[in-house]
Amino acid sequence: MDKIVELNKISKNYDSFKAVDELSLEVQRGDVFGFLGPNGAGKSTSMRMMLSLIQPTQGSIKIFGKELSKNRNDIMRRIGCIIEKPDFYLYMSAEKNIDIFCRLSGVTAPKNKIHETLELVGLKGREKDKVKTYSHGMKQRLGIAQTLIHDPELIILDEPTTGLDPQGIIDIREMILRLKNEMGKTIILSSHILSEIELVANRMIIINKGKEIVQGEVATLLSTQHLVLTIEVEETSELSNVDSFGNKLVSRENGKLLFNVSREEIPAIVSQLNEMGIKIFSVSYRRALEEYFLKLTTENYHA
Amino acid sequence: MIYRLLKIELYKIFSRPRSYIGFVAIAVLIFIIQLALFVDGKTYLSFLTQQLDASFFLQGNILNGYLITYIILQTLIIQMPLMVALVCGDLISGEASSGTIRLLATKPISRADIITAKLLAGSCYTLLLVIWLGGVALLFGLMIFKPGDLMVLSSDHVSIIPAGECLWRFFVACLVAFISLSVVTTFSFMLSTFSDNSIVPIVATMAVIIIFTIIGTMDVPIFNNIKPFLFTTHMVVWQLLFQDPIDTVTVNKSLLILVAYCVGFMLVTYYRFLKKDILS
Amino acid sequence: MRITFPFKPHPNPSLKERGIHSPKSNGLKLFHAFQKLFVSLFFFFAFHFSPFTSRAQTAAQIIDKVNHNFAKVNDYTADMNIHLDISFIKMKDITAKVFFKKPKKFKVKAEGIVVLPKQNPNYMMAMLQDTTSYNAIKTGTEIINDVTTTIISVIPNADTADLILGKFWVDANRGLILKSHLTTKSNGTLEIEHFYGSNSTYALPDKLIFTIETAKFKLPKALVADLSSNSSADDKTENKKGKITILFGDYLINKGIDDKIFK
Repeated sequence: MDKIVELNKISKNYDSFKAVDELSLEVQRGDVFGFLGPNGAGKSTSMRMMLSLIQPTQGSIKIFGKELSKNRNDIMRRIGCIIEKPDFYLYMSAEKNIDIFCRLSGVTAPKNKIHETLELVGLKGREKDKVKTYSHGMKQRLGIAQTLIHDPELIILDEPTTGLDPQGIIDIREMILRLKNEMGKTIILSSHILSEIELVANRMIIINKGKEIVQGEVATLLSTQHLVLTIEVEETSELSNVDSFGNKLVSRENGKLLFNVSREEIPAIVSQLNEMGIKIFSVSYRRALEEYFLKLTTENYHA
Repeated sequence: MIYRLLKIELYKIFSRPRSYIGFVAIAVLIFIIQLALFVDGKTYLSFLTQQLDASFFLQGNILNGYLITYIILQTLIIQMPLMVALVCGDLISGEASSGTIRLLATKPISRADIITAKLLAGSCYTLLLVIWLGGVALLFGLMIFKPGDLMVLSSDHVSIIPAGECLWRFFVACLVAFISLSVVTTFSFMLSTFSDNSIVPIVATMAVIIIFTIIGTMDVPIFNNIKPFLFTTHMVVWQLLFQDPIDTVTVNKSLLILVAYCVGFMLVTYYRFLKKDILS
Repeated sequence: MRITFPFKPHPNPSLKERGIHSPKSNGLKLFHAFQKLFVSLFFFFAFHFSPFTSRAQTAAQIIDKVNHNFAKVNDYTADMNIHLDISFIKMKDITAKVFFKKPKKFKVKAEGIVVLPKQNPNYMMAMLQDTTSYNAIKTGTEIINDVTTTIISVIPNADTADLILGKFWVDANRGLILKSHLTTKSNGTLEIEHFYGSNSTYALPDKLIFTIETAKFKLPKALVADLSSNSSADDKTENKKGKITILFGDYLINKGIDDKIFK
């Protein structure tokens, strides 16, 4: 496989605060790589380091097999990105903004290519309007157009769906999938929403407090082999007779029974509880990683 | 690449309405001053020349286009730093506050090139402001008041420059004024690399100029030692171009100090921006 | 160009000439009286019938001669080159054209700014023409440039006149003023040296050197937004004498001048 991005134990310290702590990851050609973590986990800092906006305190970054610090301009020519939010020169038209950023990438795009790209992101007819008249969703789409105009191999999108309405989120998601499937781009995108990553990414990393929590194939990490099953039941004395289901029952509190099971084991557990005469009000499950990430996000939110 | 970047930077500067404030303000002020001098210039002139009138018979077109231009330059060049800072103090910080700095810094251009292009664009803007000021003042001055020998009144002497020598002196004076204003360009530009909003560099530039000017104006002995090192002291050196003979030693010394300030501010700017983490 | 002259100090009149006598005996007084009479008679006869007749002319006669020369001029034009040697005025030499027409029309035309003394070159000549307006007294002689001149003091009759005292060193033979010293109410003291060439018969000079008192020149810095000048510069410009040298050339005399020129 062709490694597009390699981070090798990169750290970023701000005085005593470690924003990123010895983070390593690999992105292969053709991946849609999800960068997942709660707010303040170090996603943006890591991505900014990949884009040479921030100098790492230690560690090395290789992109397209070359050291970023030594081949910055060559590497950046092959990258398109949106960091945090798509910002443009509001006093210029969309067309002019794209033209300028294209020129800054070392390419002069003909007008029809600019128009085609704007059409691709659904901004046809608004090319000549000043960006200050654009909605957030339109700016986001313009941001995508800006990343595509110079035909980069790697696209880095930092929380591209933030602030978008549901339809906007769907549009961006579809666009990412098109970039991957139809144009063969390698994409790194960050988010603090697992489901978003799950829907588009094939590989992912979860980080928290600058450190890697887990990294791997999305299908593996979010497989249904590891579920947290929650069964809401009537609180009766019968509950004390419920056994540990072979250590699968992990807690029984306030009428809620929590199991660590695979998807296939759910029907057996439900029928066993029925047989014991325990009334079941609801059955729900989450994948273990999802449950863990939710816990992480909740902890960080309260912290 | 620098040329391409410079073109883009100039396009950005001249796409913004705020960049025209200086040009409009200068044109309006020139119009007001010329109108005032056209209507009541003789009173103003007699007020200035009353000491000479007491001893001498003065004859000729004293209130001519060159004198009007000189008066305008003298009055307006001290206001120019604000106009320069308004644009140059925004060159980096404006991009930081709008977020476009992130896009700019992720493009395949070295940060040194970004700084160089922006600095050149800022300098072009400053030069255009000076040319606009000198050009408009001179053009309308000569059209309305006709050419003539230029009588320059200093606090302790009077110089009369023949009309034939005025044009080249104005040209060189504008170049010297440009170098003086380049200190403001580089200073406000340097400050703009330290801030993520435009107000701070603009206000800080003006604050420093005001403080230096006050120190330079006050006749307090303790300040006399530092006055020669304040850039504001040397920013009026263009006036020496209208002395006869030109005190080239003082002009060169002042220019050297001004250039040293520019180089110093530029070095800090480069160091700061090359090392800067873009967090905005 | 700067031309200086070996001015000699005025000979101080002796005590006797000023009528102050030392207390001496009457015999001695009588002897001195005879001695004085003898010397006076000797000089009277020796000079009255000699070529040095100017000594005998009155102030009025000498002035008449001066006026007679100038009276021949109905009008003239001339080129002027003005050189300023005044500490607080820095300017290159000025070229101008001067126009004069009787009785007092005077005009300077130049492309640029002209700085001249308040009194124009014809100021004295015009003033001396009106012989009823002043009293002229001979006050001595002095040699200027190997020419013996008669010093004539002129005191205006009217209190309202700007001139307080005029003193003229006149070459009585040629009827030419070689030096003048004017004390005016409005402009202080002014000294003029006159040099003549081919137009001396018209009393028109080839060169005039005006020496004027220049008061300290000082403008508020606020008015001129000046470079910071140090205070020692002030001393240099305080109450000094300045010189304005005017060279005349290409005189056109009595060729007629249109009055429009003076408008």
